[in-house]
Amino acid sequence: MTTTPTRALPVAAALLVLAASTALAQSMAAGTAKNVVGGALLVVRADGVETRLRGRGTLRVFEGDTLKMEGKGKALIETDEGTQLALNGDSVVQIQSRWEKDAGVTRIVRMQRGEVWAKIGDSRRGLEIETPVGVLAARAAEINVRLVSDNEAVATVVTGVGEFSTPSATCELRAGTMSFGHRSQACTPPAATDVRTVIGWSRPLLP
Amino acid sequence: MRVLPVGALGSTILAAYGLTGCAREPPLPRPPAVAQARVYVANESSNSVTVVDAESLQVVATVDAKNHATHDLALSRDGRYLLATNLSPGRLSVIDTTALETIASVFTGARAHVVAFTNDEQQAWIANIAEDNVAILDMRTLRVVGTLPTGKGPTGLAFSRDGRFAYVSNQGDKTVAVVDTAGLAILKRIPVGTNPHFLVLGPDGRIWGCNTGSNDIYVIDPGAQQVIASFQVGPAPQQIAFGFKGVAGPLAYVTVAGFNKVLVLDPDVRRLRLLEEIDVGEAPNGIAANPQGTRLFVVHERSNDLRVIDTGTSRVIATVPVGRKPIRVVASK
Repeated sequence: MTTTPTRALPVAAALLVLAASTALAQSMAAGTAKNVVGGALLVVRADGVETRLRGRGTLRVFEGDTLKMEGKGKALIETDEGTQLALNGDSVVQIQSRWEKDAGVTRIVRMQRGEVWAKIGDSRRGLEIETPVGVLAARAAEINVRLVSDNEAVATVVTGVGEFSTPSATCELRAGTMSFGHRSQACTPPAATDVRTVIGWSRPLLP
Repeated sequence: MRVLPVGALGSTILAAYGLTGCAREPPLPRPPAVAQARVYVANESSNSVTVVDAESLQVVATVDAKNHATHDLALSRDGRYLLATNLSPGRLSVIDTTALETIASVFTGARAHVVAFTNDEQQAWIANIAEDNVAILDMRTLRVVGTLPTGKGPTGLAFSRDGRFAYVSNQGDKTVAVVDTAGLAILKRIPVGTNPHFLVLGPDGRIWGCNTGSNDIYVIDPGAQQVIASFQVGPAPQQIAFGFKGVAGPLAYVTVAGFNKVLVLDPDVRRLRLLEEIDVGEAPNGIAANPQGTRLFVVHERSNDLRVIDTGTSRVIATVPVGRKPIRVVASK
């Protein structure tokens, strides 16, 4: 079959539109799981399909995925925004985002349990770690969040500045400080902490 | 309404309030007010919100929710912001009603079903039916600052007049959970009926709800925190609004999907009784009244339209085509 030049242009345009539509219908990539130490990282896709990473590799992670650390292992994920994200043993998180017309897309990690460390390199687009009792938001910072129970979380800022919000208050956390969050109370005033001890668990994962 | 850089935000708070450490955040910056009264309709199968001028009853715009399965709506008291839940992605669309566009999309939880502003409008609460919880959204930063387990399959949400209590209906539990909004704790679970769904604060300060599965409505007294009245209305009652018929009222108007009717009830809880039946379209669902209580706006999920009832005559005075499967309607306050 031959196509005349006058017909080729509309056909090409139609194919471009189709390709764009197809892209919109696909899962949105969010990052790559790169290293797992001492266990397996189970990735549950939004449609329920499961896949695992053990040791080093390149497992793509998509928005809506639930990431579960099996056993006491640890995992390192790099988001497409350039954030290093580590999950401690028994952690369960979901990868999400918020879109705003004026601010674009903000990557969100919703914790169900466990502990998360993150080093956010991008100073324009931040990261927010949500827990049932509060959210820690930061950009160009190194942070750690541990969910002690369904009703208590500990937010730590290692470097940079973070904002820890519970339903009743917001606390600004500077480098080397931490705050407790409880569902029914304001976040506790920032207190100095030994950040090396707090984030020590994540070190074996880093290149 | 945009999120400032974290450092700048912290500095702004500290400078403006002279506080260190923990601080209550300043109120949400607001766009100009919308001049004319409006009616907004959530179209679940069109993923959109139809905007209708409440006086001329003409469609002003159709706003793309930038999401899927747009279900419930909440309008800020000044009419500047409209929140829309979207079942499929578990996201909340934030709509600027001046610009008539969606300006944010926030993940709140699986199957985000209903939304309500807290009385001070500092937060919005969203019931996530597939997560058995309510997400608490900070309206200044649009961050989910917490979640609260409420029961199995939360589908309805309303706040008490004084804001001390939130009421969450749970389909799976056949209960309404009473939440202490200060302590964020469940105080009580009130047994109601089968498939409890919609909840609304009535003009009497009581919480009115529909049991869509047991064909009745019920009234909860926030003082006693118990059901003090109920009334059989017919198959699949959906939502309730309040209006006046001349000197009579406020009267309760209930959409009964299985009858294709709006039932008019005397809302005196000592003797709830049927006053009148108004024929409407196929499968009436959402219902809202204008602030004067003289017009009712009813959406029909099968005939895909909005019908306007004059409460003085109990007659449909206009039919406005909207999107596919309209579920919820809200009007300017």
